[in-house]
Amino acid sequence: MLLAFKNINHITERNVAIGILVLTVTALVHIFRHPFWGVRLRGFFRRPLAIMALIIALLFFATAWMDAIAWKDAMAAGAEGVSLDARESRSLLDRTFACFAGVPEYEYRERSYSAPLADHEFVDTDIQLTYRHLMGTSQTGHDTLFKILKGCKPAVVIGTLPLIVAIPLALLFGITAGFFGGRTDDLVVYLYTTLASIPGLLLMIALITVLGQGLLQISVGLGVTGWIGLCRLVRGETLKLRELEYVQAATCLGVPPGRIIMRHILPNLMHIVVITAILAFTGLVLTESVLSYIGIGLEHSWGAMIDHARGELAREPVIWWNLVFASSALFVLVLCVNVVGDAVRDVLDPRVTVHD
Amino acid sequence: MRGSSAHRQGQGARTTTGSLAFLVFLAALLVPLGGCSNSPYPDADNGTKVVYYSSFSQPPKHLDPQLSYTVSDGIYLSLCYESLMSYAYLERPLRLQPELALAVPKPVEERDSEGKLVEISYAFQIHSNVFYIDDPCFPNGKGREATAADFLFAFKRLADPETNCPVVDSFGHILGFREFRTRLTARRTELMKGSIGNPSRSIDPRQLYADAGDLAGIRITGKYSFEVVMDHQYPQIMYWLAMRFVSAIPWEAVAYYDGEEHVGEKRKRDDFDQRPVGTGPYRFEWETYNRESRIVLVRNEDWWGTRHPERRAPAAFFPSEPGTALDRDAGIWTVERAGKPVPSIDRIEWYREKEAMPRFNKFLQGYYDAAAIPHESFDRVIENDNLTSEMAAHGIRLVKDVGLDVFYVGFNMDDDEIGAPTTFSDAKLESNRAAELARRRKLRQALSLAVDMREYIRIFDNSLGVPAQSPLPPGLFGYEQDYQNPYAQHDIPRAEELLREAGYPNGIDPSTGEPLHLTYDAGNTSTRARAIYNFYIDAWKKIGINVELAATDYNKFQEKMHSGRYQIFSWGWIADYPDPENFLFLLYGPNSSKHGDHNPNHARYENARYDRYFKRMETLKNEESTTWEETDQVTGEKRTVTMSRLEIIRVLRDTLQEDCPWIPIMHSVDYLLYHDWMRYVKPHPITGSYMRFYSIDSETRAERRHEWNQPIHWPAVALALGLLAFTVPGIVMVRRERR
Repeated sequence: MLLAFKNINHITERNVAIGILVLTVTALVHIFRHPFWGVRLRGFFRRPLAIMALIIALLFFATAWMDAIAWKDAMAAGAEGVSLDARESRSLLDRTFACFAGVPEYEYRERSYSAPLADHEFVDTDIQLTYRHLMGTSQTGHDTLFKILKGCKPAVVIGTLPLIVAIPLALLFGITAGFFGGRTDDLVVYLYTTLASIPGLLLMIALITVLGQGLLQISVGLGVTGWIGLCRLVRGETLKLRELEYVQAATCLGVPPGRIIMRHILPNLMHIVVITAILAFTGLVLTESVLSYIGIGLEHSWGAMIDHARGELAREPVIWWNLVFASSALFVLVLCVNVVGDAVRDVLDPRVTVHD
Repeated sequence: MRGSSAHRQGQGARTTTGSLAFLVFLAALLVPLGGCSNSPYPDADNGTKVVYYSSFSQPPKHLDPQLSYTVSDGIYLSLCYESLMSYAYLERPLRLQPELALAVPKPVEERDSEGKLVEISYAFQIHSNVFYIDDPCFPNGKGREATAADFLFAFKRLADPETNCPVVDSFGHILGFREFRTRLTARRTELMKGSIGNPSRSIDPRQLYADAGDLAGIRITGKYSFEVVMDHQYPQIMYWLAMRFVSAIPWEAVAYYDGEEHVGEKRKRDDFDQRPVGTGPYRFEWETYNRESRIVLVRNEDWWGTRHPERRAPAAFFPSEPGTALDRDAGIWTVERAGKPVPSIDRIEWYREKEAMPRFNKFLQGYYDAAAIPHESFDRVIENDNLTSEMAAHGIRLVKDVGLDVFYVGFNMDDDEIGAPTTFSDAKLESNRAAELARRRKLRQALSLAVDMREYIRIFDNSLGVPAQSPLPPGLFGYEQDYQNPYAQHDIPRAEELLREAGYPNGIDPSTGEPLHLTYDAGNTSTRARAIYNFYIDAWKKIGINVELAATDYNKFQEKMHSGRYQIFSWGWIADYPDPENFLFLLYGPNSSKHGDHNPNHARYENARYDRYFKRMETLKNEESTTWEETDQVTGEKRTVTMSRLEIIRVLRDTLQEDCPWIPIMHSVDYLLYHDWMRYVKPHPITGSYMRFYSIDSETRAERRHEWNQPIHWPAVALALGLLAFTVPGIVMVRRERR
């Protein structure tokens, strides 16, 4: 099992973005068709700030998606004198970046640090740069802008993939506990209370140590530790819903519990799930940064850039650009998703009337 | 109505009182700010003692001189314990001088009638009237005199498997050492059978060692004299005898500090591993000791070196001659200081600093007397290999020294894909062995040529390092500055050519049609370490080889290294002693880590020729030559060969150059900064108690600290005003609302 986890990264990296895109589009089409959701989403689109935030967040998602679609150049694969980078899979993002840069992205680098738009190296000022870099370069000469763009994929995947683990777990346990009550409820409450009493970060470190360090492993770790909050909410809401007249009526009429859950409980929980998922996204992205800071995060993430910039910030003269741009990217994504989350919460709140 | 008015009045009075109370509280907060300082030493020295201030990043791991093997622990231990010999402080190349011994002994050889070596002995005479520090482990708490018997005890304890000495194999050259170890193990097993728990905790260790019999190689010849005897040549034993593993250790302390609870004692006793009891010039101040935050060593007033100036012991006096011509010019040696007694520092205080920048900033504030240069501040401190004018104006001084170390990337020579295993696991490869070995040799050479060491040093070490050409660092016998390893140069075209010859044109593995895939194991997952690993990986990418990084925590990495499941790795080695053998043995076949977990040859390199020449070099003195007979492989004729030690080292170096089990990366250069109130500071490549030679002008330091750390009041005032600006309108508003 553990080995399977350790060898599964390539599957994730190639297919998860396509999967998420397909799922998102399907869900959106479905939602728009539904009168309840349609009305509320149209309410969402009347908020200019939320729309702007959504567009920016979608740009991040699109960048991540472009980075997940990769293929090899058949011509370069067997050609003589072609570097390994050219022969490896290059993503749509790499290729697009190369078009803008005018050279392949792996050649768009220097030998070491250079400040934004500088024409010579930062430390050894005698060395002329080959290119101008909008956001400067890193210690090993990689373009910071390219690193920021490459950081979108880990951020988006880390923000989304754990939810795929956490939401089904939370719904399963929360609805079961809330609907059936009794010993099932006791068991679920005991389980999540026990898990909640273990510090989340420690549990995650333990899981990552066992599963290994990688995108999927960290996502599983975050997912396993991240379902408890939603589970509590779902349980509480289900406890309330099961007492409503139409649920009581369905029970009296002998409708099987599974059907009641699917027809009456689950649809009424979806707004909670949507709001929690959007707001949890930002928490997950920030958690990855914390994990990077303690050395168990992802290699090409913004968290790793920020961690590396710790030392750079202490240098004199200060190497500020890696920290500033990585933090800004993280900040902008988190802020935009939070604004979208707030707007979604407002339009989905049953206490707020949305006029079509 | 009246009541209501009275109520309002009462409320108003309460509000006024509350506001006044709040303002008084604010004022009370601000009052101490006026008198506070940023001094990190709440109980600073009052000027009566000379104190040296320094810092540590990790708490001491082991304080048992026979167990500890880290540089940081070694600093404390070398001040508290004394070995037989030490290194002359200023001299380069390094030279042994007596410490507790009266003199550095010459080897005495005994040969039989045929001239065959029977035994070789080193006769040590130690100082009399050397006392251990006062400690509860001794009767009445009064330290007793150290004698030759203590050294016998130390040697026996080294042989004890329970001591877990990390370099025990090196002492196996002493006559009867291994046999004693075996007998001791058997004796302990016997005792284990008859007792519950750990018998070594409950019995007198001296008794246990006596029961295990004599250690033939240590002959006590008097109260203050003994001989170390071997039955074969191993001149490096002198260096091992100069290390802290062979210190004067009181058996009482080992027996007393057992880490157990004892009837009538309030608290559990410390373990000997955390309780040094030595004869050295300093001792721990246990009243203030906190291994997590503060470590203080105070001068041992009863130290023999101070009590017996008439002995003129080298360990107790500042060198009367400069070590090198530069020492006098740099002020490291002066006529005024020459031949004066040491130590002059009364207390050494270490404070814990986990991060480099706070440590360095406190150094700049004058709160630490010396500091290394953090990577981050290098450009601020150094300009054109010298101090910047800002630092020089601050009264900071700089000393440099090349470290006796080597950092390298190694290949697992036991690996089928990249190494030269004794037998290939694939029969097809084995059937074509010679050609396959040649292919892999070329592959390793190509990988070595792809790495640009100079660029590595420039990017990651602020150009503070010497690109390595072989395992031998500068300053060591056998290092030749003009030697250029042809495979330790950055040459991509040549690397590609070699790769083609190795059967991997353009890095493509013909068996898969894909780029050759190798793995690189590393024991650090930090982003800085990853940047370094990726530097190598990028370099290998340039020649078309796909190297995958497997970075894990250090424990997992060590597990992998012990199990042999790796292809490429990186590691380093710091000299135990200044002899080329201490570096070249890292690639000696019998030292391969496949023969033992603690063996240092992690490349698992085995080459019969290298091993033969290593054995010839190992026991030779630097200026000596040796002669042997060998058969010419081409003509089959026997011939006599005579070679000096240097010539043999060249053969070893050339063998490594061709086989390329390592990519030698760099030798470090130590840059040490210190304030001008400190004098006679010279970095030393071997850990030792060199702080005893420093001197400190406490008055100048106090003045500078005062001058540099004037309290800045305006932030406190601004904060107070800001608080008032926020709170007063609030108070006014609340009062108005209530009215």
